[in-house]
Amino acid sequence: MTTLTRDRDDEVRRPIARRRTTPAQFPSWDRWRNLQSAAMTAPALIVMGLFFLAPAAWAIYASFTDRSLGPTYSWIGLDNYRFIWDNPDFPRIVRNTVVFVIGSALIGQTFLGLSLALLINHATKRGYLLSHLAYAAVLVTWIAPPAFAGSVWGEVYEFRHGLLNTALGQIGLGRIDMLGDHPMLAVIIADVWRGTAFAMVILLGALRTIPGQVYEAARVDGAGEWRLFTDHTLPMLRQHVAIVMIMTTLVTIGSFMLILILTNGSVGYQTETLALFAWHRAFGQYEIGYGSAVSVIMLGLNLVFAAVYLKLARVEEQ
Amino acid sequence: MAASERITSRSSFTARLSRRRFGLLAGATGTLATLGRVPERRSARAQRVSGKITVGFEAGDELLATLAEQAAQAVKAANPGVEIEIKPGAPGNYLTQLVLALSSGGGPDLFFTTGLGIAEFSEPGLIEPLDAYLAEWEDWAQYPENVRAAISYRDSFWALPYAIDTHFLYYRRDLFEQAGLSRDWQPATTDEILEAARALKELGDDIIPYGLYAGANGGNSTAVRGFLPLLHAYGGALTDETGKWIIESCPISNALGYYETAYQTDETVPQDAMTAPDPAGMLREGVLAGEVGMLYDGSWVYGGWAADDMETTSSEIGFALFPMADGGAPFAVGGVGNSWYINAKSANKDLAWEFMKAANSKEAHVQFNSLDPHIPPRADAAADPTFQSNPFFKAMVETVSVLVTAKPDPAFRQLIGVIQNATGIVAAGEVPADEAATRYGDEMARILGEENVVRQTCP
Repeated sequence: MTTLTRDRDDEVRRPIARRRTTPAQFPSWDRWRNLQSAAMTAPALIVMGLFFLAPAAWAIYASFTDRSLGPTYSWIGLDNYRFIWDNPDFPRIVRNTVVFVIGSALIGQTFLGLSLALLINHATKRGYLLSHLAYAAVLVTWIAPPAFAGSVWGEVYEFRHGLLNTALGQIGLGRIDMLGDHPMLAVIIADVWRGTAFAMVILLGALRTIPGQVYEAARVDGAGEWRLFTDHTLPMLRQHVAIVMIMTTLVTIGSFMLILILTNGSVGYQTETLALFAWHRAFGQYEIGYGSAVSVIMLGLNLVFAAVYLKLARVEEQ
Repeated sequence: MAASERITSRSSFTARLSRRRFGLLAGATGTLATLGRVPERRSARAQRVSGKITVGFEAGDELLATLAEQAAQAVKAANPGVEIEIKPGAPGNYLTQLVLALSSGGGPDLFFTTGLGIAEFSEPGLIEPLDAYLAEWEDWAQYPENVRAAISYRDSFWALPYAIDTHFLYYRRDLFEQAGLSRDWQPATTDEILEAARALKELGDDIIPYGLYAGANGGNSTAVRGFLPLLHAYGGALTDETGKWIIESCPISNALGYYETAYQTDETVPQDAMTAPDPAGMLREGVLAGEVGMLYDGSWVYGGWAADDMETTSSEIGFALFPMADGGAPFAVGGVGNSWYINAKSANKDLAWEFMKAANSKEAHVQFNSLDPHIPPRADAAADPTFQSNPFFKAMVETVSVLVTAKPDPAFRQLIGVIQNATGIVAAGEVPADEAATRYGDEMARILGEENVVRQTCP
């Protein structure tokens, strides 16, 4: 049994037994522990510093310059941000980004990922062999590079000879100009197709950690399938759903390759998102300072989304 | 791939088609053996070349790969011991990769990419001026003044193009005939193009009457094959006599008004012509398939059609010069196409120059500009009987006398983006032409600075 004592008046009580059994009294051991901790975390810190903090710092710095090609450029303060603010297309680009993120990351990938995870989990418990096939099929879409996904969906949507309209024609229906009349919906569907697997994998893994006894006890209390889902499954998945929402949102905000291939922003900016806008400016027009300013705004938007999700998750936890 | 098409002037479609012809012709004539011939009288500088270079270009163009390989073999044969590594870059974003590599002091010793690089790459010192090499090269005399002007920037020469771009207004003779128009057509004014498009529209929804590039999805074609010919047709220019950029003028408003008429008023350019994942590829294939009535596009596109279906191309695809709005003399827009550059950071520029010379011999220019139809930059190559052998080649070479080109300028790429934006929002019906013209001017002023632009009030 652990007993408590007080070493000094201002010192908190701590377990005597623990003090006796740990080598914390020896300074060399403390240093060794500290060194060990530093050595263990150093690789992660170096990687983060090299691949996240340094590029982010560089982008923030570049956003205050008129950097284009080559080594010479000038400090122009907040001019790039003012140009962005004055750009009459910018509100639309932000709106497009929000619609794309909500449509693809939140409604599409998270909701569809959860649905697929529940279905596959249900099927696996019952030993349906098709569940493995479904799992593999969804996973394959995740492996597909964005450029490939864009090309595939381009073939599907193409107005005159595409798969969609050919199929509609076969059953006697008229053609749909997805890329012309519904370009944002078209890119959201394509992005959901490619990105849902991530949410599904995470949530399926989480579902499998829920103890079966929880459901058995609830069933004994007379709970139906819907009550099991709303009262037990969903609350136990909330943390994982929050993580999935954060991850898919961050990835989706930065996603541009698929849109670049599929619509290139569309003729009148209907699918121009912040990421694509940044790419167009930085590498289409070589206004690297301007493009960096757009990417800094994206970073801010990412932080806002992440903060909101974390806050929600914490509230739920409490 | 769509993305690469947005960057380079030559389409993968064309390259694919050209390869077929290339193989046949190469086998039949054996002329490749002479490709990249190194002159017998080589300079003292050339005698000393040794070491290794890397040669870069966007992968996927086998014609270019063959040219590079043959040039490398010629240089190696003439300079035993040298190493030439040909390293095609991944297609899609080659230009971006190249720019990033050059900006960080890397990149291949010699590379082949867009002619826009003459100003863009020279301004920040990424490429080597060629003046010293050209001064010693006897074949430099074969490059006429207009070609020299096109590769000159800030009193130096920066690149060697293997081809000069030129364009035609292509039209399907059979569709014209069905629409009650003449099979032999040369529009006298820009209004006659719109009238022909309206007549073609009557043929039904399965026909795209007119392919007019617009928006970002049209890539460089939006500027080069869409807006700029219209700007010239309405009497406009990019810069005034003092070199300042004209950002507001009647021709700019009229050119955007033309877009409004074609896309919104007449609806002769259907929406899907510009919203397809690869509009250029779709329209080009559509012309050959008899689904597109008119398209203003490059001479190399005709070569692709001919390689794929010579009979249909020669009998049904007509080609015309672009008319002036007021009925003046018709013209063609053009300029330096993809070109060879030497990296300013190259450790072996002399060997890179030897390669460049080999890739730009007369034989290479004749051979490759007949397989991938362009105007040969060299006068001796352009005068070769090959380019008098059929009506299209003859017409193509003759456009030199009416070619409208833009001087190299580092702001040209930004101009392309501004044009894409202005034409896109008009084509999509989001704003009227006059508002798009205002945005065009505002954006150009932001990029270039008020001190570098001029506004010409349009009454």
